[in-house]
Amino acid sequence: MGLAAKIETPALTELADRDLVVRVLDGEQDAYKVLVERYQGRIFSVAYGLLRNREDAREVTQEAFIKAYRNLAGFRRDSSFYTWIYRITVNLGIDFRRKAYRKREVALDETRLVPEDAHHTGPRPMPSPGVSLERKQLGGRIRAAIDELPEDQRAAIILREIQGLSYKEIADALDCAEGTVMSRLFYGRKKLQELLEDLR
Amino acid sequence: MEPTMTPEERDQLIQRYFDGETLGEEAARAERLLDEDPAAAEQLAVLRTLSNSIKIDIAEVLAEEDFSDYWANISERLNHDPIALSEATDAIVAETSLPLAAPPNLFERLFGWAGLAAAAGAAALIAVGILTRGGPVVDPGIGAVAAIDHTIVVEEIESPSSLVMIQQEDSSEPAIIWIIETDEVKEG
Repeated sequence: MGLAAKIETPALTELADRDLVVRVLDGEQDAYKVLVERYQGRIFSVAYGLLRNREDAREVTQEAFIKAYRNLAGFRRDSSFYTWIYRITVNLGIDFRRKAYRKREVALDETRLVPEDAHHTGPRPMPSPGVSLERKQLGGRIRAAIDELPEDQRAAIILREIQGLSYKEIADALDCAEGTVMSRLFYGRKKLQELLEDLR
Repeated sequence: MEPTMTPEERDQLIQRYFDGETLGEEAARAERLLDEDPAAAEQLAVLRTLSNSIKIDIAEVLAEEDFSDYWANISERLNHDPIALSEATDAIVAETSLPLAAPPNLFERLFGWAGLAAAAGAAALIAVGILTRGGPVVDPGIGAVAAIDHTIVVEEIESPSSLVMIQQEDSSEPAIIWIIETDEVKEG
């Protein structure tokens, strides 16, 4: 048996992010498809956590992948691909939110789900027939409370709670010090505690 | 609560513990605090409730999202901008030490690195006798890695500089060469 027969090429889906990036840069667009499919759920979660709106989150998620692809040259390969794309997503999300809220303030007010017992504004209603009204209201209140947070605290909380990133990874994604991450989480959570005090 | 700890410091420690950011003594300290201080235990419970609520909320939204057309949308937009990829390739090749492309000209790089020494080397009298040693060659079809012995014996080198370039007469490309001074050479 020759040498060639003994070497098995691993499937793209089995490759590490770093190897996929090299493949993409080598012109293999299918490798980027693997990266997109690997991270689209997580990126969507981050975008949704920041924007509290499904359509906006969808748009930001896809834009994040396009921007990442076009800036692969700027990707420092001593860091991880996912913290890098989280950073792109957070920046896009914050930017999108600022622009969109200025443009669509009136329209959003008309379509937001506003819980009966909350004075805060929330996102659009989501079709979820199996979920109880109580749970819907709780979800609405949580979203409204997160919406009250400053952007930097909201981003840190989403990356920690939804993505489970370490302080170091969050610091990489948000381009700040670990101590700053701890502080943002601390004050963001304190604020949420105040807003959701009756959940205790 | 430990005597020197303020409520804010206590809550910060509990937060780090909850987030898995404490190790060793700090983790032990947090656990002692949780055993002894009801306010610390209460804070941990609040963090858990909050975390679970956020997770459940997002998980429900995520479960309802249809990702089937994401790649189609993304690739459609990417295909409208093929230039970006080639620019990216050039840049990353330039920044990385990985062998994505062969170095264009080793001599140029070597001269650029130590021009003065190379000039001295060019003027040097170099008497080199190269004998190719017929080392064992393993059939590459058998082993995963072929162990080929490319050792050559250089009998004598005279140079005023410590930098010496060697090029085999029948080769157009210089090779990467490690020069090891052996006892035989010293004696010779």
